[in-house]
Amino acid sequence: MAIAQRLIKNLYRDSVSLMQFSNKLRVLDGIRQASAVMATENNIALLVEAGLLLLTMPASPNDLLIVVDGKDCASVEVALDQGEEMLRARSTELRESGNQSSPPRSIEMGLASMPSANFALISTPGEYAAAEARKALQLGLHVMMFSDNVCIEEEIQLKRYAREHNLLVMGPDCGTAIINGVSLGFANVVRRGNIGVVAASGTGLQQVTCLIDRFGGGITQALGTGGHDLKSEVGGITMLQGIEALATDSKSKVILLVSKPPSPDVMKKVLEKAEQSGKPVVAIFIGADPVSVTHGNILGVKTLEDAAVAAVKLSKGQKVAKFSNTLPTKYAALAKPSAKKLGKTQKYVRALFSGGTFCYENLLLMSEELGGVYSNIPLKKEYKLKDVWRSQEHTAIDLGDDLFTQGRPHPMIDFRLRNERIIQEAKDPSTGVILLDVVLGHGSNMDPAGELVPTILQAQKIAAKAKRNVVFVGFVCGTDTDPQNLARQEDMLRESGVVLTESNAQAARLAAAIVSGR
Amino acid sequence: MDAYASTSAANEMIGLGLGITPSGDDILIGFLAGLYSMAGHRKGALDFIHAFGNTLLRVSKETNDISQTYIRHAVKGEFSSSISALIKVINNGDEGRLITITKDVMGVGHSSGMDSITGLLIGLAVWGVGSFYSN
Repeated sequence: MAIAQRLIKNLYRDSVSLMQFSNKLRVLDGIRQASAVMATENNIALLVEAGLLLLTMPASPNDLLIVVDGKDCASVEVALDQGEEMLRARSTELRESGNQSSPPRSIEMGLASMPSANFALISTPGEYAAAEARKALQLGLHVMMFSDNVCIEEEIQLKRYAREHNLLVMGPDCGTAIINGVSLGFANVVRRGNIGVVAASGTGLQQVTCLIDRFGGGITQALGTGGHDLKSEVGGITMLQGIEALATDSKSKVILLVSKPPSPDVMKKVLEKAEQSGKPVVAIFIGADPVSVTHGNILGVKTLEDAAVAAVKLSKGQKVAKFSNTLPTKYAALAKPSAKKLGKTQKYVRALFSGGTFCYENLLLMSEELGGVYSNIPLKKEYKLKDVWRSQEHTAIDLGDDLFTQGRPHPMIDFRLRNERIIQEAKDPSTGVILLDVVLGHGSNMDPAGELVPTILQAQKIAAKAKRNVVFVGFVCGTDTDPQNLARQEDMLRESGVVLTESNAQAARLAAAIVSGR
Repeated sequence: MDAYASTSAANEMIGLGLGITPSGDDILIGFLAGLYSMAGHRKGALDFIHAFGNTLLRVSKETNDISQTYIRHAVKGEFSSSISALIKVINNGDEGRLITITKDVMGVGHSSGMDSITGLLIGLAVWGVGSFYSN
């Protein structure tokens, strides 16, 4: 990722031209974002805070500041050059002829210009999101709320209203969904098929849908419920509506439910609804004992991977064999040679996650093999990291936690923090294995492997200087139809020495096996 | 008027945002328009506008020449023709033309018009609907 800027002294272009200019730069090769603003002190401060400018710069408010954010130095320089040329050209050349009607400024105006829409996606700061959701619901639209920091009382009111009017509220804090083949938020491009998914976890949804695709199955819909739906107070309103919708959807032959274990009263309602569906239901309540879930048409499983395997088998009318809950032989075979590389001091796994649910599943599986694992989201209080910026013994951290993301883009997009942490772990003589999740799809970084590989190589150099080998274990959560090239991402990672597994569960078990086998 | 509060509020908005007249400036200008609409001839209100206007003039050094010019005029109660027309329609209670004139203002620039109206609404609300008839 590269950012660059250019200051053009004393240049005035009207606002409409500036907007069109930004739009034209954004479609250039390798460019993610481009803006042109007057170089006032407030605008410069804003750009610095947004990470689009590294330092404040001397500028007059009458200057025009162009900032570009793209995949590498070459493409941003090209964009800046083209941008400057565009701006210096006669302003009439920038204007597009035709309709200058004002763009829609509200959901109501948007609906007026697209009357067939039945769905609104809301991504505003939390304090405004509930009001916007209410407006959309009152207009008869289903709603997906990407926004978080909406209070629970508002969530309950919205969902009750929605239920009364036969509408769905996916969220708040719902970052992932796939509706009619369209990926929304952080979501992957997944084969269409006959499995319907309802998930209270974004990365959980991503893992199961990607593995379903990898194992030859496909999905009808992947509905998100938001992170708080299964709390007692909310009562799982959206999950229950989701199950009902998939139960009556003729295209969905199998239903797959993904979440952390809900409170007992909500669990009861969810299982009852699942039973009523009359279809095979696979339920992964991450951390719950599958035996307590399995009943009638409902199959409880232990990991997200098992959920995908079971769903695909059932979708093809096949039987689901018992799950072994151990590392598959092909990975067990890799554990020994990797273990041999580790020195006496290198006892620990350092797992650095961009996906919160991946971190959680990792904690569950690694704790089973290794005992306590420290984290910023530990399973038990006594394993809370004293300082989240320093690992202790076995550590698995969720870098998407608020602690780390204040004023920064999410780690699925911006790799700076994770890269710094990788180097820090490599310098620590007690680090044996560094574990990484690599998430593809819309919304994620355009080239995660490209972001990680230089750092991985540097980390290995640093360790080598101290006569150590650090073992990297990872997995890519993505499909071959995702915008990033899955095969190339995996190749790049393998070539830099990362041992790749297919799933989060296998990576966790492999990392544990490696440090245990020293 | 709380001089400190108004200065820091204006400081946060001046020069902020997209556009040749950054959004923050358009909001402040619209705000003045709203205040002028409601002030009538009341001395207290006009004193407030005068004081706030001085604050704005000071703070406007942080933005570009074009905005500064608009602000200089707005402080004197002089606004663009579309905003002046809107103030007139509001003062006359001319509901019939309100929508059309508002749409005219909304169409100005990319977001200038909308930002001005946002400021206008805030300015209108300062002394409340009822206060125009009191004092």
